[in-house]
Amino acid sequence: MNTIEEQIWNYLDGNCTAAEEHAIQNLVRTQEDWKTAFVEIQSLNLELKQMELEEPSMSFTRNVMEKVKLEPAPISLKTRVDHRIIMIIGGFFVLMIVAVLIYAITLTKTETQISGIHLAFTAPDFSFLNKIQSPGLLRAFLFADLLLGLVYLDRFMRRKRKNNVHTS
Amino acid sequence: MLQPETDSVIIAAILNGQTGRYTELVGRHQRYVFTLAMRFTKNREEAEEVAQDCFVKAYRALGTFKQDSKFSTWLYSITYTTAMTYLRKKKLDTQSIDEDGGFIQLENHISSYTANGSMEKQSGYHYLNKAISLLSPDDNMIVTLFYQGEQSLDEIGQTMNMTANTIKVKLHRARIRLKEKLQGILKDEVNEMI
Repeated sequence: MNTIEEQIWNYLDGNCTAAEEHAIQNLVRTQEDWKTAFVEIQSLNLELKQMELEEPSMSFTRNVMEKVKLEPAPISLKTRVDHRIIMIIGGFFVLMIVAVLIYAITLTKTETQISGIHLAFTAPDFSFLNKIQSPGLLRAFLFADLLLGLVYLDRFMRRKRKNNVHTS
Repeated sequence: MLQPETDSVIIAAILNGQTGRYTELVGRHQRYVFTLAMRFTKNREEAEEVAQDCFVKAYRALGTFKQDSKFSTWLYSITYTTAMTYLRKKKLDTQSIDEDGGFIQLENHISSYTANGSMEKQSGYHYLNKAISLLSPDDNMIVTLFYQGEQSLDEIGQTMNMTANTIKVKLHRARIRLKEKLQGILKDEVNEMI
């Protein structure tokens, strides 16, 4: 059960329903204890609302900005974590795992006998891979790696230079 | 008339390299942060230090601000954590003081006389400030955020890492305690005058 004070505070905060508001207004009009409590709480509520904020010293903003200048410039997390780089790294690992799996399968030729069931694993024919394996392809692969590395280095140095410009 | 830019626009500009625009955010929120700091430290110099620390922390972490709440709510949560850390450190440095017995007079608490404000009104705020300073840090924070920080119960909950319902109950209890403290102070004043 709510106390008189609690109900009056709720009323003044605007947290009551229309019916509750009407009931409280009636009680305040008709009952002396409600009226006394309402006058007290309303005046306290008004004073609290009208209280002034404290004023810091005139040099407050300047002092903060002097301290802030010593800090590195903030960067949005979105730009800090480049999803493309994560995708490239992730893709590289997936590719490696798939390549290792394919290689392992090509080397496997197993026959297994489990409780009367005869399982035969015969490696699929991947001989076509030998045809595309060439020094040219290897060079192209390494060149692509080198390009990716240079792009990343370029981005990293740009960001570093940008930070240095803002902090200086 | 030119509309003032929102906090989000200013934050985006800062994150794009216009770091000098942080001045605008500091100017906009310094009084709120400083008032909260004053509530905890009860001393102008220390409050300035705490408030400055809050703004520097907010600047450092600006990139992590997700903008799913108001900047002020996020800033007040930094203020709350920083102020609580300050109090814990202070508690370690000094002997514990009884909450009521250890009342510290707020310095220059009445900011200024308003153009049409009366002495009576200012002394009313003075006693109110006195009473608020006697509340516990959490009660103090909730009352200040609700009335002076203009924060909703949900936002205060986010700031203090509590549910809106808990804040509602705590606010109600804080106001009852505040009323009691105020009555106590006024009673003492009347007794002194007699």
